[in-house]
Amino acid sequence: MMDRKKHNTGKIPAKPENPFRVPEGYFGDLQVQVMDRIRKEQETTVPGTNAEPTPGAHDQSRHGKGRMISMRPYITLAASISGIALVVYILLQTVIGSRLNEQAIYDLEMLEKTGIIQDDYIIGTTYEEDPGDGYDQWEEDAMRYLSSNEVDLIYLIDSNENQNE
Amino acid sequence: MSAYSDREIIEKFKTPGQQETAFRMLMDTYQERLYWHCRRMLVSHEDADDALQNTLIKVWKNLENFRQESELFTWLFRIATNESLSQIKRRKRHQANTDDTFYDGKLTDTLETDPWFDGDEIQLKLQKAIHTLPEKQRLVFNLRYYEEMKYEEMSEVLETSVGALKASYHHAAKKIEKYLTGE
Repeated sequence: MMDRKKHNTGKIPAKPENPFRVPEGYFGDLQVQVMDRIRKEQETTVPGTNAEPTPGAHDQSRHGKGRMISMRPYITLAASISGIALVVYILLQTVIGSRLNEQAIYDLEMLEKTGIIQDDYIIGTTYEEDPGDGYDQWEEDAMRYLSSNEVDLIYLIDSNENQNE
Repeated sequence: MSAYSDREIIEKFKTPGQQETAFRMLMDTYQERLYWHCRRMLVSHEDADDALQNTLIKVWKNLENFRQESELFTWLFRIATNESLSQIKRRKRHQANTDDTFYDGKLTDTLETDPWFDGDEIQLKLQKAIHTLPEKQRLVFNLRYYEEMKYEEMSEVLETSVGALKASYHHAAKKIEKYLTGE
C-alpha cells in the first residue's frame, strides 16, 4: 500500500504529488448518489409527489409547475387576507349602516316630538318640490293673504250669512 | 475528465428539460478537482465525500441564479471551501478537546493506516506539516501548491487580497520547511 521512501531533504517537493486515493468507481457512483439526493430533496419539497422522477422531469418542474408550487403558499396567504378583508368590510357596512338608519329614525322622531318639524312639513316639502297637475296657485295665494292680514274670519262668515238671508 | 465550457454548462442548465444533463456536465468537469480540494483539507475520504456532496447539492440549488460575476470554477471552489470548513467545525464540536491545533494534528494521526492514503514518507510528513498550519494558510498552500491556482483566482475564492495571499503562502511554506527539517 505505502511505498515509503527514506529520503527526506527537508524541502517541499518541487513537483506536487497526490498521496490520496479514492475507492474504485467512486466518481461514477458520486453522480448517482448526488442525483438521488437531489430527487429526494425535491420530493420532500413538494409533498404528495409520489411519481417516479424521470430524467428532466424536475427540470420542467423548476421552470414551470415548480415555481407555481413554490408560490402557492404566498397565493394562499394573499387570498386569505383578501377574504378576511372582504368579510370585515361587509360586517362593518352592515353594522354601521343599520346603526346610521336607527340614528336617523331616532333623530326624526325626536324632532317631531319636540315640534321642530311636523309630518305636514315633510309632506309640504314634497308638494313644493313636485306640485303636480291639480295644484292651484290661487288657493295658496288666498291662504297666504288670509293668514298674513289678520282678517276677522267670523266677521266674514257672519256678513256672508246676512247677505244670504 | 470531460471538459465543457462554463458558458455551455450554465446555458444548458437554464434551458428547460436540460438541467440534469447540464449538471452531469458540470460534475464531469469539476467533481474531481473539488473532491481533491475537500480531501486535502479534511484528509478523511468520508468527510471529503460528505463535503463534496453538500457542495454539489448547493450548486444545484443555486446555479440557476448564478450571475456569472465570477468564473464558475471560483464560485464552485468557494462553496467547496465553505463546506470543508463547516465540516471541520462540525468535527471539532464532536471532539472533547476543542483546541484547534489538537484537532488538526489528529487529522493526520491515522494516515499511516488509512487504506486511501498512498503516499511515501515524505508525503506523509508533508501532510503532517500542512496540518500544523492555521486553516487559512492551509487553504492558501493547498490551492497554490497542489491546484496551482493563480493568486488572482484564489483572491476570488477566498475573498482576500493578492498581497495577503502571497504573504500567507510564504509564511506557510516557511513553516512547512521548518517542520520538514525537524527544527
